[in-house]
Amino acid sequence: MKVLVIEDNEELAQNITSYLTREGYICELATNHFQAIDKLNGFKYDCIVLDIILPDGNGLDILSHIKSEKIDSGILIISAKNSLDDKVNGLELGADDYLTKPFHLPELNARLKAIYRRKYLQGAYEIRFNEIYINTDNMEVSVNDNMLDLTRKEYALLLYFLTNQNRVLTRQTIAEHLWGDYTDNLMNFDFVYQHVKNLRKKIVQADGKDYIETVYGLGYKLNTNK
Amino acid sequence: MKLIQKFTLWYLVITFVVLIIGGLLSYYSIKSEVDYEQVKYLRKNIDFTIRELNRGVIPDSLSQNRMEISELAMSTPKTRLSVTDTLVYTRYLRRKEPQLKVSTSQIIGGHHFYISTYGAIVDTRDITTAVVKSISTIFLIMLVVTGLVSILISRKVLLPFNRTLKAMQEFRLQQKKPLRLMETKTTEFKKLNNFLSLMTNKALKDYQTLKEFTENASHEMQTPLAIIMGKLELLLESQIDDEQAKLIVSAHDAVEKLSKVGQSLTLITKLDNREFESQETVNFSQVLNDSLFAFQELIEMKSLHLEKQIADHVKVKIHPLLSNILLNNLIGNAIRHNIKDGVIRVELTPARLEISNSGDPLNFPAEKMFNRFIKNNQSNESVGLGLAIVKQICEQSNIDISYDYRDSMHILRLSF
Repeated sequence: MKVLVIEDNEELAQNITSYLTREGYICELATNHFQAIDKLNGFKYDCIVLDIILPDGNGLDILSHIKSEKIDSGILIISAKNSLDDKVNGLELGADDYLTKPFHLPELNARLKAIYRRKYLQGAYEIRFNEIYINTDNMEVSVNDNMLDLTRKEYALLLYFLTNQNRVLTRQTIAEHLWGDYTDNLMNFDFVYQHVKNLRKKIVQADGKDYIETVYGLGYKLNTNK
Repeated sequence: MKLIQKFTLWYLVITFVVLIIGGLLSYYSIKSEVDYEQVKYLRKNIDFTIRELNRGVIPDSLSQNRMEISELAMSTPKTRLSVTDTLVYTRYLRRKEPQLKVSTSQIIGGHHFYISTYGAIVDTRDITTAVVKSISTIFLIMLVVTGLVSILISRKVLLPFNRTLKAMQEFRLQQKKPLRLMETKTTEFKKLNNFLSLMTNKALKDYQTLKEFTENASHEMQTPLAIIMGKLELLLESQIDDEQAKLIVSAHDAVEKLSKVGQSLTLITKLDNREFESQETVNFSQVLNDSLFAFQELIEMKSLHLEKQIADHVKVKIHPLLSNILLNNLIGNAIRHNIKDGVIRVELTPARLEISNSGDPLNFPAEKMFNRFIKNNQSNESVGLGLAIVKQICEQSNIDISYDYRDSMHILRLSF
C-alpha cells in the first residue's frame, strides 16, 4: 500500500512513517500544503493521512482539491481538534475516517487498513492468516474450518491483532480500540485481560495455534513465528 | 411586594393620617365660623329690637316667634349681652335641638327689659357628616389617582430599572453577548447601569480569555502528546529488556491519561461555550439500548446483573452527540463503581431516566458528586470528569439530575 502522510510536525510524521514502513507500506511525507498538492498531482496513492491544521493552509482545502481532481485515494484525517464541525466537514468533503490526536499508531494502522479494505476490496474481504479465516462481510471467523463463536469485542480484538501482527499492543491501546473515546477511562485492564484470555481459549479450542502471547508487563502480541 | 407598591402604600398611609388631622381642623373651623355668623345675626336682631323699643314701639308687637321680651323689676341687676347654648323643643322634629341663645337686659324709657333670642345652630353631627364625606371623597380620589399614577410611574420612570433587572436575569456569560441596558436620565439608574455594564464586560472578557486559554492549551497539548505516544510505541518494538519495558509502559499509560484529561477538559470547555447548541429530538430509548448493547460484554464480564425497563420511543431534546456521551458516561460509571455480582438497574419512562447500581457508599459528600476531579479512591484509573461532564450536558439540555444513595444503591435520576 502506498501512503502519503501530510503532517506539518516532523516528529509526528516520522512516528507515522516509521510505523507504517515497518508494516510494509511505502510512505511519502509532505510537511506543508504546497508539497502535498505537488505530490498529489504527481503520484498516485492508495491512502492519504491528512492533518487538517497546516502552516500554509487548511487541510480541508487539500481535501477539496483531492475531490475536485477526482483523486481516488482513501483519506484519513488526523486532527488535534476534536471538534465536531471538523469531523462532519471532513467526512462530508469525502474523507473516509477521522482520528483525533493523540492516537495510537496501531490504531492508525488499523483504520488505514479498514479504509483500504472498504475502498479497494469493496468491503467483502477475506482475511486469511494460516489456519485462521475471517470473513469481514458477515463477521464470521473460523479456525481449521471450525466456526468460532466470538463476541463482538473478541472479533474486533482478533482483527486488531491481525492488522498489527508482531506488534506489541499495550492494554491501553487495545482498550481504546475496543471502547473508543469519551468513556472516562472506563476500561479496567481486567476487561482487556478477560477478552484476550477468552479469545485465546476459543482459538486453541478450535485447534488453532496460540499466536497471541503475553508480553510481560507490556501487553500482548500476535506472534506469527509460532 | 413591588417597590412602587411599597411607595404607594406608604404614601396612602401618610395621606390618610394627614386627612384625618385636616378633617378635625376643618370641623372646628367650620363650627366656629358658623357659630360666629349665627351670633352676629342674633345680635343684629337684638340691636334692632332695642332700637325699636327706644323709638317707643310696644314690646308686645316686637315679641314674636324667636324673640322674647319681658319686663324685669328695676331692682334686678342689669345683665350684659351673653351667648349661651340651650336646648329648645322643636315641634317639627319632635325633639329638643341645640340652639344658640343671645340675651341681654336694657333699661329703655324707664323700663327694664329682658331681651333674648335664639336660633338654630348647625348640628355638629351634620358638620361631621359633611367633613367625613368630603374627606373620604378626597381620599378616594387620592386612591384612584395614586393608583393610576403609580402604574404610570412604574411603566415610565421605573422602566429602565425593570429593563436592567430583566437584562441581568437573562445575562449569561456563555452567550458572550454584552449586557445591553436602556438609556436613562435618572442619576441612580445611570450609576447602576454603568456599574453593571463595567462589571459584566469585565466578566465577559475574563471568561473569554480563560476559555481561549483552555482551548488553546488543550489543542496545543495534543500534538506533543501524540508524538510522545508514538515514540513510546515505536520504542516498545525495539530490543528492550523487561525493566525498560515496564518503564515505557508506565510512561505510555501516563500519556494516555493526560490525553484523556485533555479531551475531557476540552469537551467541558466546549459545553461551557455552548458549542453543541443545535438541539434535536433524539430517540432516547434507542440510544439507551445501543449504549447498553455496547457495554453488554463489560457487564457480563464483571458478572453484573442488568435489569432494564425501557419504554419505547422516548423522545428527548438533546444534541445527538451529547446524548451518546451522557449515556456512555452514566452506564460506564454504573459498571465501574459496581461491586462483584452487583446489579445495574436502568429504567426509562417518558418523564425520566433512572440508572442505579449497587456499590459502596461514597467517601465524600454527595453534593460534591458532580464536581470535577472528585472520585472514590478505589478506582484510581478514572479521571474524575465523567459526572462533571454529565452534569454539564444535563444543564445544557434542560434535564434535571439528582443523586441518591438508598439500600446500598447509587441512584442517578434524570428528569426531562
